[in-house]
Amino acid sequence: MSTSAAASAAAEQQQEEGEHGPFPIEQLQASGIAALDVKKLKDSGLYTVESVAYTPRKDLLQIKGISEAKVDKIVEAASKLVPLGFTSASQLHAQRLEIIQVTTGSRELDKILDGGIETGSITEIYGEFRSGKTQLCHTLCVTCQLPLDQGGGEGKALYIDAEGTFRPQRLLQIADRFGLNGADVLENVAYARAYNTDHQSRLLLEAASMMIETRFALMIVDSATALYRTDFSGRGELSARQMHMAKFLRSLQKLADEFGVAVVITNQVVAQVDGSAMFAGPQIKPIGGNIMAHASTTRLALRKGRGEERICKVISSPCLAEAEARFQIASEGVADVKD
Amino acid sequence: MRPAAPARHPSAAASSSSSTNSQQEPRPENPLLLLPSSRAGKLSLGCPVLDRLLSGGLPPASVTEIAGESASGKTQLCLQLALLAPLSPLSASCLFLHSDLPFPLRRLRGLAPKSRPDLLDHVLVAAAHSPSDLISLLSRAQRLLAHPGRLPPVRLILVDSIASLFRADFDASPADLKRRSALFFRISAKLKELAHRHRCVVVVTNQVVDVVEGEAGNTVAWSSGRRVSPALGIAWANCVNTRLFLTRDADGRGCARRRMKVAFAPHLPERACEFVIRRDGVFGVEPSGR
Repeated sequence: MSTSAAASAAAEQQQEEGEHGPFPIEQLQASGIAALDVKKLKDSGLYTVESVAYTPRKDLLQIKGISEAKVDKIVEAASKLVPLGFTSASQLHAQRLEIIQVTTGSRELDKILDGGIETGSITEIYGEFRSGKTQLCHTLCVTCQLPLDQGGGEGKALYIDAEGTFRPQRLLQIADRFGLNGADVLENVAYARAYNTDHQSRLLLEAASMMIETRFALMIVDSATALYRTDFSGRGELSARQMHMAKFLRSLQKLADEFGVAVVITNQVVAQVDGSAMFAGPQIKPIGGNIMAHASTTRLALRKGRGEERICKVISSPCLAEAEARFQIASEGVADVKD
Repeated sequence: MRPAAPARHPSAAASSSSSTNSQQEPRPENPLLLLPSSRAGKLSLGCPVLDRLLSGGLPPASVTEIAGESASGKTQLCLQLALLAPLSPLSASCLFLHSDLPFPLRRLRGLAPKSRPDLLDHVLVAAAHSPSDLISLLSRAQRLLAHPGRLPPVRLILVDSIASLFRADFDASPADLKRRSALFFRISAKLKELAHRHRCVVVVTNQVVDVVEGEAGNTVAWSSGRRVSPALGIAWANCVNTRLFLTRDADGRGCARRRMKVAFAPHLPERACEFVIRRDGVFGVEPSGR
């Protein structure tokens, strides 16, 4: 068992080096960086060469034990491995042929998403309570483990839970539907409960260390904004709240781009009281305002329909039209509506 | 009697002689020679209605900002411009510096006409991860503009978006705000230098903030039922030459109704027109009932 596991890991490592995946930070040792310095970088949350190359120089200088001369050496080594200049869009296209989509479990929903949840970017799902956000997240935890030819991501899932709504038994029910082994499915979901906004941000650092070790296809933050409602209150703390949220979302963007995972965040809504008198627009809007809106690559709104039926609307996306789809929440997860 | 030209320092003279032609010291120019014909050199937006709003298109040697809320069409417009630069009479390459990850490559390929797959070769993409990263990328861009190699000359630089770089990297302390403003002007000076020296069209996108109370002092517009203002405040407003504001509201049928408004420009009056985003791009809507 351990022999085949080691062989599999070696094969995966070989395949990863051939591809465009992130370089483990130990690669810097081949360029003459001391192992002790590499360890200091890892302790600061930098696990890949890409993350070092993308970090501003002043932030690297903040790391204890890393001198200015060492920073210069490290940056030079990282820049050799990671191209930081301009690439033509056709070359970018060649690199990104491997972008995959994770099925949601509903063919109609997949259709308006042009195949499913897109990897390498942030998809935000907002809606009222009981509109299906968490159910969709549970279904994605299973579908991301499916083989590629079945619309899966062939990877693990990472689930950051801020609301305490994660239910492993739901995953077992959904796994049955797709013919997957329940114990294996649970083993492939890394779960973490977030208790405050700073903890939520620190969990992203641990996520990076896990993603460098094994293939992850999906990362879920349910809900991304719940803790901000409790940790920050009042108009006076609004500025600090938005800045903290901006840093968190920026880190999510980098994780998605660096490791090619589909990042799905859920968001709560708030009643719109100020402008409702003047405009007949939607009466609810997602929390987080412009910071959240600009950070999400794809924004989906969920709302209730009749019975177990739900409706998903594509609010914004660079490459999807504004469209709606109906789906149903059943014991086997998110599925098509049976008419 | 004219005074003698100021004596040059020997090393400065040496470096001056060794530098390329494009690096010569700028000299006073006759304003008459700066007048191009009204449409020459402008980059069309690909739609006659929008071009009319902008009197022919986006001006070269100038920094144009496109501000608007999420999903108002900023990135769609940038992608369209990126593909129009090679197709336009400029026949130029384009630099696309994006700070939001990932680069929307799928949409770019969807917008490119099937008959011209080579257009993607003329769009050069780079990711900016921080303000200092953007500054170093602009230095690389300067070398690319001076020596394009086998590519057509670069005449369009797109930065999408300038705001997200600054929103995530700075705190609200006075020292950080001071450093942030200084970076605004450094980046702006760099962009304007590139624009002027190489007669480029420079387009920068910006996000918005809600106007919560009182008078903002900056551009204010109604969008999605609330008052919004371009992000980064008044300091950044002084860093751009032209500001186009994109807004969106739901009409009676729940569809998005988008407008492009000239907030300020040295060469344009304040006016606005409606536009739509279709599968094949961004297009203006002829005002009805004329």
